[in-house]
Formats: sequence, structure tokens, C-alpha cells
Amino acid sequence: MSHLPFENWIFDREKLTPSQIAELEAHLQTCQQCKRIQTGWKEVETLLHSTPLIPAPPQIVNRFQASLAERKAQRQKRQVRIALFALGGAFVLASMVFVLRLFWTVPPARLLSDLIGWITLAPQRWSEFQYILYYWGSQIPPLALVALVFLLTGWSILLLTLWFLTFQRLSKLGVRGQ
Amino acid sequence: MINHEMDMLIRAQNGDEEAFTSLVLQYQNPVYNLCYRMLGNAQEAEDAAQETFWRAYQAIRRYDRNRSFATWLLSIAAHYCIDQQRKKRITTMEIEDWMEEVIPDHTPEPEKQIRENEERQSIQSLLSSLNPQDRAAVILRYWYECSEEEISQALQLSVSAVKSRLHRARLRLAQQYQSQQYAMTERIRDESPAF
Repeated sequence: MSHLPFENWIFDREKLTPSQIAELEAHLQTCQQCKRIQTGWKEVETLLHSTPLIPAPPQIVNRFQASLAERKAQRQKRQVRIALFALGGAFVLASMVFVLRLFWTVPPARLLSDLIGWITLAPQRWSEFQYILYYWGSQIPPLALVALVFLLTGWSILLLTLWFLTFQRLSKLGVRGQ
Repeated sequence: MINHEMDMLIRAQNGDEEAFTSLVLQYQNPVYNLCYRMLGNAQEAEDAAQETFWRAYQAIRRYDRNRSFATWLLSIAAHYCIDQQRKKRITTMEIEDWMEEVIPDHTPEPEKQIRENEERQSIQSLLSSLNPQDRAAVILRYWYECSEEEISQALQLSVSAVKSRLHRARLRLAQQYQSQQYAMTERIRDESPAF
């Protein structure tokens, strides 16, 4: 005996036409298997409709807020670590490229002799630099010198402030600002 | 959708944590209930609800306001619970633990509490006989009155697949219920003293 349309009808009684209901009832009179399914399903359906929603534990919102703050802090720390690691990595890579380039174009012996020469000449270069500074300082009018000092100081303060704000933002908000 | 809720959603999408928390407050019961029905354990359900809200928080900017927020949220919860079930591969022992567990109730009436606990255990043991996706379909259909289309959206299945899953699940539940009743009758008969 085929049970398929009747099994479907048992679960969707509300969608049936009166003739289908009559056909189903007639089938249920003769088929014990479908009868059992119908009896079982009626009980289960009653149980499903009568079982209420389980209320959430009272601490769920507080726990969410705490967990949100913790996860955000962790994510920010991770972002800052990634950003610093990327910066450090880029710096190391650039240094390595620079050093390699230096070694490729200049033989090590030449590099060493140049280095010794540079160290030897450093005091002389320093006094020459001081002389140049002194010469140009004496050529520049005193007012322009003051303006130059102010300009340099201003730029330094501006750059330092920008650096400080960026650092503070990175450590407080994370790289992506969340 | 209610205007207040839409306002909260817009604010939450713009990064307002307070607005998102008020959505958590509003949806904590449906989300927790779904997780509990899926996992059958109060502690795991609470953890799953937390994870659901965290995932929703991360994805809130991608939420399409033309869709129902409740369905979207329940979809996240259902997927998470299905994944958890797959990872866990529940053993018979744990299913028995579910049946033994008594969830703390806040109602002061002990009779009502006992009856509700019995119903919970009964429904939970029936649900545990279904596979996770069929279970999710039944929960969404009967506790949240979701249409087949809404279930298909929430579980990312076709409507025909949802119909087929619901049919299979109902059949299984009916058979399981009959088996439970039969086993209970046998046990009562065995336990009754012979005079």
C-alpha cells in the first residue's frame, strides 16, 4: 500500500480540501501505520505548540557587554601588533636591500677602507661643517635667523604632535578605528 | 518593522554600541531559546547566544534592512549551533544528560515548574533524535512561526529542501514519540508489583 500522499496530508491537514480530508480519513480506517503516525504527530504537534520560549538567563546582556569590550581590546591590540610588525618588517627589509645593494656594487675591502677613511676624516668634516654654519649664520640677517629658528621649532612641534596623536589613536582605537 | 527597532538598527549599523546592546536585550530570549533547543544544554546555549550576538555585531554593517532582523539573527544562531553539533558529534551519553538536566526556572510555583521541566525534557529528547539541520527547521517553524521561505533564507536551503526536511523531521518525531510512549508503557508494566 502506498502511504506517501497520506503521510504528507497528515502533516499538512490545514491545507487539505474537504474531499482530500475524506480520502485521508478513509485511508486511516484501514492503515494502521498511517494511523500511528497521525496519533504520534498530533501529540508532538500539541507539545510543540504548548512548549514556551525558554527565558534567557538574566546575566546575558551584561556578559555580552563585558565580552564585547574584551574582544574589542584584543582585536585592537592585535591590529597594533600587526601594524608595528609590518612597519618593523618593512624597515628591516629596506635595510637588508640597502646593505645588499651596497655589497653588490662595492667590494668589501673598498667598503672597509672607505669606512675607515670616513671615520678618520669625521673630525675634519665636523669642523668644516661648523665653519659653513658659522659663515652662513654671519651672512644671514639676525631677523631671518630668528624666523628660521621659529620655523624649524614650529615644524618640529607640529610633527611631534602628529606622531603623538597617531600613536595615541593606534593604541586606543586600533588600526581600523574599531 | 517597528520604528524604534529600525532606529536602533540604523544606529547600530553606524557603530553605536548602546543601540546594539538594546537589540541584544530585545532578542536575547528568542536567540537563547533557539540555541537551547538546538544544543540542549543551558551553559552551551548561553555561550552560543553570546557568540551569535558577537557575530551579529561584527556583521551588522552588512545586514540588509529590507530583510527581517529576527530572521537574520536567528539564521546566525542556527548556523553556529549546526556547526557546533557537527563538531561535537553528540554521543548517546550526552543525549541522556540532556534528559536528566533540569533548567533553573524563575517561577515560584513548583508544580508548574515540574510540569514544564517534564515537557522540556520530553521535547528535548524528541528534538535530539533529529539531525541538526532538520532540528533547526522544526525549531524555526514551531517556535518562531517562520514560513518555509523564511526557513529557506535562514538555513540557506531551497524551499523544496525545507519542505522535504520538515516532512522527514515530522515523520521522525511522530515515530520517536510513539516509541517513547511504548517504552514508557513497558517500563510501568515491568515496575508494577505482581500480586
